[in-house]
Amino acid sequence: MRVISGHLGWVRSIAVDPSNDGLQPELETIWDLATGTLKLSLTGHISSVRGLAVSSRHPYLFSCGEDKMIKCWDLEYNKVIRQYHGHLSGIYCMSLHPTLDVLVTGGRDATGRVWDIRTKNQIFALTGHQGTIADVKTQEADPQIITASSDSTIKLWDLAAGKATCTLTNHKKSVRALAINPNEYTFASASTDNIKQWKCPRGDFIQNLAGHNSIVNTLAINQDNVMFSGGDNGSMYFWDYKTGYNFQTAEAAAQPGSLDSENGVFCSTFDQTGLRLITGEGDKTIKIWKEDERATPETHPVNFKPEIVRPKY
Amino acid sequence: MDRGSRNVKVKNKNAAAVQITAEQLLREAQERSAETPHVAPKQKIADIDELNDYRQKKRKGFEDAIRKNRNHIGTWLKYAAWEEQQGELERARSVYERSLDVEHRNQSLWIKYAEMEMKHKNVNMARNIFDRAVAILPRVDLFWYKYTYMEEVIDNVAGCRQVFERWMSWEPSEDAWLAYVKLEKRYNENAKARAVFQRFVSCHPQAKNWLKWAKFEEGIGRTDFAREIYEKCIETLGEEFVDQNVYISFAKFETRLKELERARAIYKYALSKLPKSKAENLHNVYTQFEKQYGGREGIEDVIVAKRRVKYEEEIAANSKDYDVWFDYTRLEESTGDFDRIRDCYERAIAEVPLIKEKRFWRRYIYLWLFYAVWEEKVAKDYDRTKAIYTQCLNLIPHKTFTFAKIWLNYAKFLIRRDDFTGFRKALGTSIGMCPKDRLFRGYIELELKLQEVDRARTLYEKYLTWGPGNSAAWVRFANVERSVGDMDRCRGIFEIAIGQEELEMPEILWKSYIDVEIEEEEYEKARGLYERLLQRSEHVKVWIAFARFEYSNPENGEDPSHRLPAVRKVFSRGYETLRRKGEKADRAFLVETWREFEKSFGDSAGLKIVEAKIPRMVKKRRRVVGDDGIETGVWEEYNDYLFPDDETERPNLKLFEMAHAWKEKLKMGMLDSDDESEEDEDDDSQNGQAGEQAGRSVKRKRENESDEEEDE
Repeated sequence: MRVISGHLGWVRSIAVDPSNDGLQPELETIWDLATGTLKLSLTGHISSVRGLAVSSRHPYLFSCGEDKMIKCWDLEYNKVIRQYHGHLSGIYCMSLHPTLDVLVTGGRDATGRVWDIRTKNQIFALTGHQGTIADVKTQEADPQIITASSDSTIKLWDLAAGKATCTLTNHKKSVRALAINPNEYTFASASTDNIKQWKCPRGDFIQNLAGHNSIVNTLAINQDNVMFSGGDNGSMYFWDYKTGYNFQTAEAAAQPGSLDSENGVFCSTFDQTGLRLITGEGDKTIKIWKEDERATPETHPVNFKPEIVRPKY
Repeated sequence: MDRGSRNVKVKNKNAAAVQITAEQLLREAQERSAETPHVAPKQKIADIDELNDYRQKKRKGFEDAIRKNRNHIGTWLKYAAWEEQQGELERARSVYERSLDVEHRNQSLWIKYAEMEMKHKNVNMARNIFDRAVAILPRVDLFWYKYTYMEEVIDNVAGCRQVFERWMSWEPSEDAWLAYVKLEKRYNENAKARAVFQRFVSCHPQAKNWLKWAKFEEGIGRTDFAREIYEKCIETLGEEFVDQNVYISFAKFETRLKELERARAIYKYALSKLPKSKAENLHNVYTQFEKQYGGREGIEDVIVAKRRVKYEEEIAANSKDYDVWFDYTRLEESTGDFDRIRDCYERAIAEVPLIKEKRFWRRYIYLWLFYAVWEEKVAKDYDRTKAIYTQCLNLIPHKTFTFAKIWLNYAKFLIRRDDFTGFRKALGTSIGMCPKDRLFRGYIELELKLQEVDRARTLYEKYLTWGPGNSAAWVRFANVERSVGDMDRCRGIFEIAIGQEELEMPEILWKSYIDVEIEEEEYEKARGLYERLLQRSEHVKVWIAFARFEYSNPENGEDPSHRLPAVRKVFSRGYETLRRKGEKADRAFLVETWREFEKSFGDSAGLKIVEAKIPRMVKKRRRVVGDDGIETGVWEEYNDYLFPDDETERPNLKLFEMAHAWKEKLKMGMLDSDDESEEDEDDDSQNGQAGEQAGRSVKRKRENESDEEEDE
């Protein structure tokens, strides 16, 4: 595990640069992933940054924050080249469409907004949620946009029409995180009651992943079907995505000098290889985790005993 | 102003004339509150205008409250209830609809709304509301329960069933399904109930649900179906999910039908399938069943099963506890189920001791032995027996230790199978690999039993080259030769044996050699042997034996009395030798034996001579010498003998005698100076004996003698 500390506040967002392994968390500091050294810090936001996205097709970095601003940074000049106006309140999440030049943001005003990157115009306002949109994800196939809200619903949106195709009401508490599986046509959503998995086009319920009894702030899935969920109390759960078996739990290592109350995982992502897990935490650090090479079936026995019936919802 | 007031000085610091206490204040407040509060005067609504006024005021209040906090559902409910009470159903509905716009997920809103409609018998309205509610919140069972109940109350069973069907399509919890079943049961629709059950168990395949279904079938008298369901349940769930309750319930069901054999089979099947930890109750129930219905055999079966479980537990706790394995295997043997017995033995012998030391193996090896014996005697599977023996012999680390028992048993087994080459080969290997006393002995014994004297001879040769010091082996070898009548060889062997440098217990050898000669009536040779033996060792026992021999020796004369001189000669020779060597205890023993001899066989003259030699016993004291050779402070007593022959050599004896005489005199004359006791000669005796000590044995040298004697 490697710890990068240098931030002066909570690390609320992390994105991995698909091209050159850079790492961009809150306050737009760019770290070199290999050496853990600071490359660059970008200033411009006047309140905390809550979302980051690095384009794989442009040299652009997008950032959004609680100051209702969305900025597009050109990483060749390290300057803001575009700003997108429209949100009525703090912006909590953003997602770049993988193939279209479209940016989706969501925030405290309970609307998701779809932006044309080039013209800076708002294409759609995705209204319907009754609470803060806590997470948004985009993908190439339908549903192209998925939003998770603190009104404990998940909505799947039709990008062409700008309308919700489906509302998933299964969660009982606010849904704070979403993660799309890179291999399957499925996604997972995390709430305090359960982590749930869904089949994609219509949002059919697959299964519950019960056991993470805390506020789940973040989810991440890698190519090997390992799902990570990070809790607000610093608990880290690792799941086998297919079976829903929780094969490992861990506690975020406390940074020297940090308080108990700062012990929370806020954001997480796997790097491009899927072998390193990067978490951003309340103790103002970024931690990079790797697989335990010495783990064997003896040291970490699999005790997988599924019930005869699984909950149907 | 502030600053000024802070600086104001108190002008009069005296206590106030009227003092007010806290109690006073409280009392006063209480008195005032006791006064009747203000009550708004009751208004009588006289006409429609006043009513409208009142309603408008009230509505305004509600609307204001809602405007203040739209999300407070209580206000909405009160508003709607008030409208309903006013008989304004349209308005009440409107309030409910508006509130549902605010919070459509509130259950109590929906329920209250539907209840209002039901109260006013607007069934279709209520249905409409329920339909909307269950569409929006399909997972709230309460709506469904109320909905179905309403349909049933208005005798719309078909509609109720339809609602249930809609509900069941959501695959709800078990209670919901059971509610559906109960409905069908109420209307005696057994076939429909069965269909529901079928879907129920496919949705919730837990064992307990299957049992409910079976119970239902049994209740309506369809035992054939019930049995089928039990079987289907066990088949569907598989071993992993079937618990003891299924079996217990199944068996009890069969018991109720008086199908005792079936029930027993079920119990047995279950006990064989389920691990002990999951079958606690099952055991008890089965025992009870057998007690109630079973014969002796059945009960015994149960007990065996129970004990088996107990042993299994003990083995699980400590798999190397061989005592448990013995008991376990014996238990299995008593049942007579070959496969089980073999299985048990195989498991037992798999528990090889971890440490390669013989004492850890001693008990373990008996498992093998018992196994082999059982295979041979009971199972009569000789190939297996042989395999067991060879396996066992392969297992034992012969380099460090071996078990002759196993080798010999194997050999005997092979002989029983008429496999003589095999038997010789086995024992040959054993002797080559790990020669051992018992192995040789056993092997030779077997060969002798087979009348193979030549083989036995070669074996003895091997045996004795391996262990030339073993007197017993020599004796046995010689006896073998003698038994085949080859006296020359026998003597030769004895001679070689006697000539061995290091012999354990040579006396056995000598004794048997002499005995052989006596038995062969070669008295001269025997005497010669005694003489040779005496050259080697002049032990008192040899002398006594020699004397006895002389007394029984017919060559000394036919009449025993003629043999006396020879005997006396031996005794006196022995006596002299021992005296010369200073072995006092031995000498005393010899004299005693001699006297006994004279008493029983001899004459008075001989007896007198002997009695003159009898020593006196005295007690002496010496310091105990510790292990490290240093004298400790402790004293111990020991016996010493004073021989009359030796008295001349002991000057201080005279002194003793005198002291003795003095003591006698003292007694006679009743003189009373007791304080002059006999303790005062320590120094003298030490000095007197110093010279004598030099000639004594090494052991004696260490003694610190201080005499203190109360002689008899």
